Amino acid sequence: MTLTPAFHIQDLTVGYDQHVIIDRLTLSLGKGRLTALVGPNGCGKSTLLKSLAHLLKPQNGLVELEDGATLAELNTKAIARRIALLPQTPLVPEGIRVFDLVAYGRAPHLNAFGQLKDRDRERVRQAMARVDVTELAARPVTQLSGGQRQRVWMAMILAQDTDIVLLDEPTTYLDMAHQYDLLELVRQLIDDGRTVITVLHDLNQACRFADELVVMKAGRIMAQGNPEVVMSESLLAEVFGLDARIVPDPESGTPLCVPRVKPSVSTHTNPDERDTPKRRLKADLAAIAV
Amino acid sequence: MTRWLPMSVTLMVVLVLFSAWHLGFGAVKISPPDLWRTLMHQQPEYEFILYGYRMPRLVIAALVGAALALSGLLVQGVVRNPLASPDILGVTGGASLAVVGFSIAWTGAPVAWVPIVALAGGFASLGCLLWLARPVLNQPASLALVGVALSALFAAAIDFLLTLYPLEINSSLIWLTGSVWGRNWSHLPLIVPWLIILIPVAALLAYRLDLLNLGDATATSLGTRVSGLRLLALLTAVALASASVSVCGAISFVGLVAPHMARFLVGHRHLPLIPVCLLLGAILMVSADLFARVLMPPIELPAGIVTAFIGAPYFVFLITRYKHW
Repeated sequence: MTLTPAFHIQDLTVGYDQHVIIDRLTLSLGKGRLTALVGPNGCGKSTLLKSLAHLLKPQNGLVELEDGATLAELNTKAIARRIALLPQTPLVPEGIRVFDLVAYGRAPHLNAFGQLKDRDRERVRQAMARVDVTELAARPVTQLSGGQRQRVWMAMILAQDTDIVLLDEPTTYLDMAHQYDLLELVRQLIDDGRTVITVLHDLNQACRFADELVVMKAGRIMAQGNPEVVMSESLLAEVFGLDARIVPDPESGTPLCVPRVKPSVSTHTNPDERDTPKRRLKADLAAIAV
Repeated sequence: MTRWLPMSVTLMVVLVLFSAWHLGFGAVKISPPDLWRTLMHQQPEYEFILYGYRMPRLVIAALVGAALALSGLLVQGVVRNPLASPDILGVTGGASLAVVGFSIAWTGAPVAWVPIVALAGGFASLGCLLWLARPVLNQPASLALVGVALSALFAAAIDFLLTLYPLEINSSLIWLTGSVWGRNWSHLPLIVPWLIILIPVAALLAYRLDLLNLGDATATSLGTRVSGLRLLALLTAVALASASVSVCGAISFVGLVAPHMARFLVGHRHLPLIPVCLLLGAILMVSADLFARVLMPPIELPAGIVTAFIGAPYFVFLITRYKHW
């Protein structure tokens, strides 16, 4: 790869206790690009993401940053100034207001007592403006809708002011419109010059928004590269066990996976013929009566 | 941020009022003007009662209440569960068991030893807790469950010893229920140094505990060393709880209730919570000791019974209100 890597992962082995999830993985992830980690459930993509944030310490191998420093050498606060992570289900403290939550993003830049300076407040305001939550500043986070809440978390990540942003399935729990809003926002981070690595479940979204796909299965890299190059029917069959066609997305021209209809399954039936529990009960009762 | 200062001042006034009532009430009643003159050294008549008996008792009650409240705040911050309190970590039970065992093993042992034994018991039980819970140290809820089991075990052991040696440990019974009766200035060194050292430690941990409220993953990615923070906060909480148990025995519910009241008053941030929590703990304990004496004179109830009377219904209320199971 000719691009500068944001991460270089060498012989990485990680797992929980004795259970190894990723075994001797070597991988480089490009700087200033949006990389999507995709793969079936349990393939190790979240584990890889957590290793990149040093939430999981490697049993073996290392994760190197752009300047050659390994995560193991850096302390937690130093890592936090360079890498931000949005976990899948962050906890919202009861009663906390939007501004205060976004301000926690400044934590790695503050002293032990967490006092905000004027510069920090300015950063927080900029971050809120960037994701359009300025007018929510005084609202309790628990009162917000799912979409608003995810924007607030994104604001926190922005306030952290890191070159690298890691997102763990950021679109989960959002309706479709909000999913696309969020992904467009993520694209803007790339335009700002940041590196984003995100776990995504939806392959079509990954193909449309990501510069690069990393396809994983059982802790291994099955393919890496531009979505147009990587996506193929054989890959879908091999990795996901999915029988699907790949057609160009009519909007963006990026690959679109359309699963084939299995001959044995009828996908749409007349509502009057549909098998509902109530109808089944009626039929059973009729049978007994006879 | 803006509310904690006026709130602390208000609570300070409440504490002073309760303290004045506490000092004036008793077999010999001291009226407020007399109290004032005695404090200003203009009237020697009540000096002996005041400085010999009531003042040390008041000061001890306030300090113990403050220590328990701060301990509860830290435990709730670490376990991230508002139902958590120092009691459930088994510290109180361990300290009590140590005292009971000690009074059986050495009948007629000097009372002065009791606090030291209690302190040792408290820390020993923390050792047990950390050792038993070492696989689940990063799962606060499991840690709390191990603590609950440990508490039950200690309580069973205490009951067993009480049945086996009913005579030897009658005197430790009073101590077990938690009472500030008969406490004097000599007990002050058992609690004051702990507070002087540990309140600044708690203040230093406060912001990191705020971050911990966001969950382990977020806290770590914001630069917090979660496991170290958790251990340090737990050690601080246990030291505070053990120190107060060593002076007064087991006082239940102050450590549970005070942090909740404090959160209700000033919100979720730990730094402003600390002064408010300390004051509320002191007020709760002083008023509990006051009511323990006011309710049915000349009988004095142990203050621990009063806190339990107030605390238990509140606990039920809390459970019905708490939504995040």
